[in-house]
Amino acid sequence: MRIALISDIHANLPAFEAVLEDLEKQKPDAVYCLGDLVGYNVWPNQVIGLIRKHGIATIAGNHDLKVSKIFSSEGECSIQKSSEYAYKLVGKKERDYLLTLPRHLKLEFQLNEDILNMLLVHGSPRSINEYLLEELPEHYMLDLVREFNADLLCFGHSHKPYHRIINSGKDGVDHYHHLINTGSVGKPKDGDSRACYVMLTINQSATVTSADGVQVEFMRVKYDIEKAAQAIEFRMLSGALADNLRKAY
Amino acid sequence: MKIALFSDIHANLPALEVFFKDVETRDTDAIYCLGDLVGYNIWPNEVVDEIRKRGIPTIAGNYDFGIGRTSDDCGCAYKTDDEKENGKVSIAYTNEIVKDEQRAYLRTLPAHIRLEFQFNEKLLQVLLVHGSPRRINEYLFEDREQKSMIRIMEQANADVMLFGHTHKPYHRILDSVHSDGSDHFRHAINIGSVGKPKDGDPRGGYVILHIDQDASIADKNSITVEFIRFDYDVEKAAKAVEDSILPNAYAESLRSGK
Repeated sequence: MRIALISDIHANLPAFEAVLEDLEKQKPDAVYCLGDLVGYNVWPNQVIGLIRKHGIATIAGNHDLKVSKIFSSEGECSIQKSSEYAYKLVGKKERDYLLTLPRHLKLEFQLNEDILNMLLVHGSPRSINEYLLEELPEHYMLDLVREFNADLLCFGHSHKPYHRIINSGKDGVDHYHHLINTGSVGKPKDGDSRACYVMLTINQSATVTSADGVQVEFMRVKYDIEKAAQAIEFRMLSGALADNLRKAY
Repeated sequence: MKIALFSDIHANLPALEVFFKDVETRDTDAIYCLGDLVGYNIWPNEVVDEIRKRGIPTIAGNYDFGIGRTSDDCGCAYKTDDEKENGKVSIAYTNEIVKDEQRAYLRTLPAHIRLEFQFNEKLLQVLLVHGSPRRINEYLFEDREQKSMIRIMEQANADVMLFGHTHKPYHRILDSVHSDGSDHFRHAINIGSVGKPKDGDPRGGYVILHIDQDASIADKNSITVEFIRFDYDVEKAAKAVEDSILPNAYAESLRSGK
């Protein structure tokens, strides 16, 4: 089974459209989105519209929940630059959608004699805001996967993709866990300005006692960065956000 | 959030095609499939392809489990000798026509999917299974004793549980009262069958689950379920059975919805 994991689109429609086009070629068996559909750019409603149209199973990110405190400025006219502007663009129906998204998704595989738990979260299982960066100490990550019973822990939020395998086994019996940061579709921060998502392959041999049954591939997709950067400059926020997209930091 | 859930298509492509058309008109936010894509009709590969093409999150049903492993056992509880004989023909036929790629898909489907919601600082656990959380082929009928149903949901940590397998849709609300006397309403929802209904109504069936920001275990009306039935070309599906080596009993079953 091939599963595409996308995350952190951040209202970047040109990037998301390019990823959808790539997914049509890749033909994964299922697609999941790990949140942060909105914020930082001008197309939140269009992105939500496409996610809904494709019926993509999605969890909430921290930016998606920000709309609970920021209300749409429909009918108002403002020339003030504001960090809230990107959230005020979110329409009523889209706001309801964001505020009723699940926080976590869990897939339980029973392909062999054991159970393989795949947990999808935005930041970390503990907090929607926590950054699980690659350089965190192994004992910290081991505690986390044990506490939440996660053999495949998939997350976004930091916009820096990685795949790390850790082993919580004892007494000579291996128990592998895959830590998978999906990277970001609409606002990469790893120095590569192309959109990023993950293609996960779960083979029928997949089990917790071997690391081999699960493969992780990072997909990078070129898109019209200038269009996304200029939309920021023209419509709204600080020039820094546009520069972020161009240089991927 | 409006979530469409469908299951038990059982290789009935004409029914599945109408399901997709119908669900498109309902403006749903997500779609999940609770398994049993194959068996009892002639389009197992086509049904698998239509579901894969749309990237729909899908769990394995007992028939998928059997075909995924090229087993001659679908885990079905046939009662009479006739049913057993017919069942053998169906699984042998399905094993013969399912192609490698589609079999590999069935082989690696997850068993359960859990959606964890959080409203007003409180968790709401929604669990999707094919038969029951305990067994892929356990039948959870509507008349199961309340105590037993509550125990199954408590053990699985499910506030809302959606399942198929029996092909008989229902929504049952159970109150597992907390020790302090407060209500804990749980929802057991059988989503019926797209391609082989058995509740006397031959139309295809599926559900739409409504969860809004007020959804809570304390208010039994805060989670609602819509049961949808759609007409499809039953005759086409029944004729396909009759024109194949599959037993004609399966065609009759499609026409009568039993």
